[in-house]
Amino acid sequence: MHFNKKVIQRAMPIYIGYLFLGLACGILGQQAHIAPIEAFIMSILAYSGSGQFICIAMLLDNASLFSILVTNFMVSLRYMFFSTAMYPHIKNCSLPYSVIFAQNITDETFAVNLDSFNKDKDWDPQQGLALGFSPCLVWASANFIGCTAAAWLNPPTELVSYILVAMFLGIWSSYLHDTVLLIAGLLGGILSVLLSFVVPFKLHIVLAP
Amino acid sequence: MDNESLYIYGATLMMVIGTFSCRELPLLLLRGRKLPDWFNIWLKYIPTAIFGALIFPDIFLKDNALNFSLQNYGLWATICAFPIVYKTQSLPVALVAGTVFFCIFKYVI
Repeated sequence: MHFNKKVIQRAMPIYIGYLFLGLACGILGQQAHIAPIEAFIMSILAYSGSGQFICIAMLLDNASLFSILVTNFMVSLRYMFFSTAMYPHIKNCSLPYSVIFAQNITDETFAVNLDSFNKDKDWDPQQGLALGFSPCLVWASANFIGCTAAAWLNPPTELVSYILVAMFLGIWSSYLHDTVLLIAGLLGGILSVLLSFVVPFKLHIVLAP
Repeated sequence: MDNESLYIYGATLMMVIGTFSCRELPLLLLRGRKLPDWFNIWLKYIPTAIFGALIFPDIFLKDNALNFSLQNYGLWATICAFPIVYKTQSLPVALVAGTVFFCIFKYVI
C-alpha cells in the first residue's frame, strides 16, 4: 500500500462525504443499541454505507439474521460488477493482495480508482489500495464518533428513525433514472407492504425485489 | 456477552459474508470474464426495488396496519419531500427536506 499526496488529493471528496455519512450512521446505530466499538468494527469489516444503514433499520425492526444476510447480499450485488471491472487492473497482484483490494471497493472508491487507472499512467495497485482503504478509516472513525456523540445528545427516537427513512429516500432517488426504474421501485414497495402481512422475520424486504 | 451484543455481532458477520462474497466472487471465479447479460439487466432493478421495499413499510405501516392518519408524520413528510428529492436526486437534499417536513407535521400542524 502506497499512501502519498496524490492519493490524499484524489480521495479528499470521499473523506468529506464519508465523514458526514459516518457521523449520521453512528448516530442512527446508537438508536439500535450499537456500541461505538461495535460500530467501528462493523464499519471496518463490512465497509458498506447503504448496507450498514439497511442493517441498522433491520436491527431496529428485530429482523432475523437470515433476512439481514440476504438483504445485504442483494444490495452488495453491484460490487460484483465493480470487482469485474477492476480485475484487469489488479490481475498481476498476488491473491491475498487482490482479495484485500476487492474488499476496499465501494461505489466511491471504485469510481475514483477506475478513473485514475484509466487516465494516470503512474497510478498502480499500491496507490489504489491506499485510496480504497484510507476512506475506510475515516468512515469507521466517523461511525465511532457519531455513536459516542449520540449517547450524549440523546436525540428524539421518532425523529431519528424518520431521518433513516429520509436517508433511504435520498439513496433511492439516485437510482431512479427513468420511469421504468421508478415503477420497479414503487412495485417493490407495494409488494413489500403486502408481503409484510403474511411472512415472518421481516423477509418481505428480501422477497419483494 | 449479552444477547443484544450477540445479535449485533451476528448481524456484522452476516454483512461480512454478504459483502465479501459479492466483492470476491468475480476475482476468484470469473477471473476477468464478463458477467452474463441477464445478471446485468436484473442488477439494474435490484437497488430501486430494495429501497422501495425498505421505505414503504416504514411509512405506511404502524403496528402492522396501514395508517393514513395525520399522526403518521413520516408518511406525509415523505409524500411532500419526494418531488423535491426525485428532482434533485441528492442525499443531502433528501435529509434536509425530509427532516423539515417531518418537524412541520409533528410540531406545527
